[in-house]
Amino acid sequence: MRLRKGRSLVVGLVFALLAGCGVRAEPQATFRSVTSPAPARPDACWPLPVKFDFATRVRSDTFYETRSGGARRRILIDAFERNSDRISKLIHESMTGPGFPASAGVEALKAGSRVRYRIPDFGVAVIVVHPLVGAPRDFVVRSQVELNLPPSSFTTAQLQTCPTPDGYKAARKAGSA
Amino acid sequence: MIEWIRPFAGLVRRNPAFLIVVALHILLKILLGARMLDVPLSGDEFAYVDGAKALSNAVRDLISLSPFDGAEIRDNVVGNGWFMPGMSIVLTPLYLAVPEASTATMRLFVGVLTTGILVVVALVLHRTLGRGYALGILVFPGLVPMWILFSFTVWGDLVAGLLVVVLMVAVIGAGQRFVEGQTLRWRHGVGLGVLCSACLYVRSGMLPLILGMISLLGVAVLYFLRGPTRQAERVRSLAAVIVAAVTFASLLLPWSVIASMAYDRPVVTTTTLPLSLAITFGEEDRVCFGPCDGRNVWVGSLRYARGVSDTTGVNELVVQEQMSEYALTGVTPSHYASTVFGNLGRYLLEPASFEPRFRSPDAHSDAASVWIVESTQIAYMAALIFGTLTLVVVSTSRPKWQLISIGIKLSVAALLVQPFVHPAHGRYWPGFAPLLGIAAVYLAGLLSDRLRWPPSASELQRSDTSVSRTLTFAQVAIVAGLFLVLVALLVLSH
Repeated sequence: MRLRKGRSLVVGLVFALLAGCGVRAEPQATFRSVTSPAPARPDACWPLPVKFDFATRVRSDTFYETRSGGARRRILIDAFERNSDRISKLIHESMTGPGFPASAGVEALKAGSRVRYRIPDFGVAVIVVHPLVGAPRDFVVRSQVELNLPPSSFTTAQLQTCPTPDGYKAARKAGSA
Repeated sequence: MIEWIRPFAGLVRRNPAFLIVVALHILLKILLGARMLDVPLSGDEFAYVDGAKALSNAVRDLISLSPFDGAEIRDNVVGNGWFMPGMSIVLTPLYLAVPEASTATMRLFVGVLTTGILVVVALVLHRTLGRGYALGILVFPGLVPMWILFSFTVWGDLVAGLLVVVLMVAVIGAGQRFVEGQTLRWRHGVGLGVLCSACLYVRSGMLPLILGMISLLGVAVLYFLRGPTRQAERVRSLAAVIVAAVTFASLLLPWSVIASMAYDRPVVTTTTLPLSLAITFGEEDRVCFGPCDGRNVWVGSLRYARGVSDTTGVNELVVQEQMSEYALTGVTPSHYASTVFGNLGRYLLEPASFEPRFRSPDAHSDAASVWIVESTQIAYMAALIFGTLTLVVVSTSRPKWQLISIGIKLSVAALLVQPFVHPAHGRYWPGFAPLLGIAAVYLAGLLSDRLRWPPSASELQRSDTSVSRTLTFAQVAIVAGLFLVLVALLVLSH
C-alpha cells in the first residue's frame, strides 16, 4: 500500500513538473473562429443616402447583369423585430422624408411590397419588403428587405473601405459596372 | 503496473485464443496505424484537440496557482457548444506532457489508449458475462480494419461505444442481483453514476441510453424487490439507484454550469439539437430564414445565428431555436419518416464510407484501401445480421440470457435514436459496433445453450417462473416497441 502511495506521489510530481515547467499549448479555437460572423458593416458602407430606422444586417450583396446588358446591385438584408408592414412604412417614411418620391406608388406583391424611389444623382432604387411567411410574432427576424440599386450605389470611396459585392469584379471586367 | 496486467495474464494462460486475438489486433493496429499517422485532423477533431490544449493550460494554471484563462476555456472547450468535453479530457494528459504534440503523436496516443480500453472492456466482459463475450468483442470490432482506423481518431463515438458495453454489463449485473433477491449497494450506485457520466462526456448522444438505463434500474428495483418482506432490500436498492442518478447529475453539473454560463442560457449537454433538427429535417432554403451562406450548412447556420445575435442582442441560442422552428415549418410526417429512413441507411449501412478520409493527403485508393473497405463491409454486415436477429429474438430460457437480451436490445434501441434527430453517416457505427459483437456471441451462445445444454431439472426448479415470465414480457415489449416504430415509419414514409 505504501509502495503504491509512493508511486502515485512520484507520478503526480512528474506531472506537476511537466505541467508547471512546460510551454503552454496553443489552442486555435478553430470552430469558434470559423463560425464567427463577419463584422457588421460600417455606416459609411450603407449604400443609400438615407438610413432606415430599424436594425438590419446584410445577408448578401451581389452585382448582376440585367437583360439590357447593364449592371445592378442587389442587397438582401434582414430586418429585425418588426413585421413587414411596419418595415415598409418605416422605409417609405425614411425615403420620402428627405424628398425621394416613390415613382409609381406602393406595389403590393403576393407577399410584401415593392416601391421604386427616384433619387437625384443616384438613380432608381427598387425596395422590396418580403415578410417571412409563417414566422411567429416573437421571432427576431420577421421580414427581409431587398435593395435593388444602380451601380452608383457603390462609390469610389466605398470601394476602398467596404466589402466588395459578389460579382462586382466580373461586372467591372465586362465593363458594365 | 503488474497488478493491471495480472488479470489479463491469467486470462491468457487459461485461454490462449485471447493472446492470439489481441496479438492480431495489435498487428493490425501497427499496420493500419502507419497509414493514419499523417492523416490530418478532420472536422470535429479540431474541436477536441483545441479543447484538450486549453484544458492542459488550465491544469498548468492550477498547478502554478495562476488565474485561469476563462476566455480560452470558453472559446476552445465550450466552443460552439456542439461537443461534450470528454474526448478533450482524454487527450489532456498528452498536451500536458507535450504541449506541442503533433497530430501524428496525438493519433499514436489515441491509438494506444483505445487498445487499452478495448482490452479492459474485454476483461470486464470476461469477469461478468463470460469468456465468449470477451473474445467476441476483441474479434468484432477489435479486428475490423475500419474500426481500427477509427481508433486513431478523437471522435468520441468509438470510446463511447466501448464504455456503453461496460455500462450495459453493469446494468445487467444489477438486474441479476435483483433477480437473485440481492440488493444493490450504494457503491454500485456510485460506479453506475460514474460510468453514465463517462459515456455522456465522450458522446452527448448517449443521453437517451443513460436515462433509459437508470429508469430501467428504478423500475426493476420496484418490481423485483416488491412485497412487505423485501422492504429493506427495496429501500437500499432504490437508494443505490438514486445515488447513481445523483452521482451522474453531480458529475454532469460542472459542465452544464460552464456551458450555461458561456451561453447565458441553460445548457444541459450541448446546444446542437435545434440546428441539428433544422439541418436534418427542415427545408435547406429556410434554415437561415433563407439559404445559409457557404458550403458547410453547420458553419453557415451558426455564423448566421451569431451574426443576428450580435446585431440584435438576442441570445444566439434563441436565434437558433427560431431558425429551427422556421426551417421545420411545413415538415410533414412523411418527409420526416423518409429522412429518418435515409439517415438510418447511412447510419447502419455505410461502415467504410470514411475510408477516403483515412488516407494521407493526396493519396488515392490503393489495394490496401480496397482490402480495408471490403473486409470491413463483410465483417460488419455479418455482425449487423446477428445484431438484428438479437433484436427480434426473445429468450425464454434462463434469466441471465434474458437479462443480456434486454441489455442488448435496450442499448441498441437507445443508440438508434440518433438518426431520428441528427444527420447520420458512416462515422457513427463505432458507437454501436461493440454491441453487435456482443449480440453475435449472445445469439451463438443462446443457440448452443438450447441445443447442447438444455436446463437441467434442478436448474428449472430453481428458476423462478414468474421472474422468467416478466423478463420475457420485457423483451417482447421492447421488440414490439421497435416494431411499432418501424411500422410507423414505413406507413408515414408512404
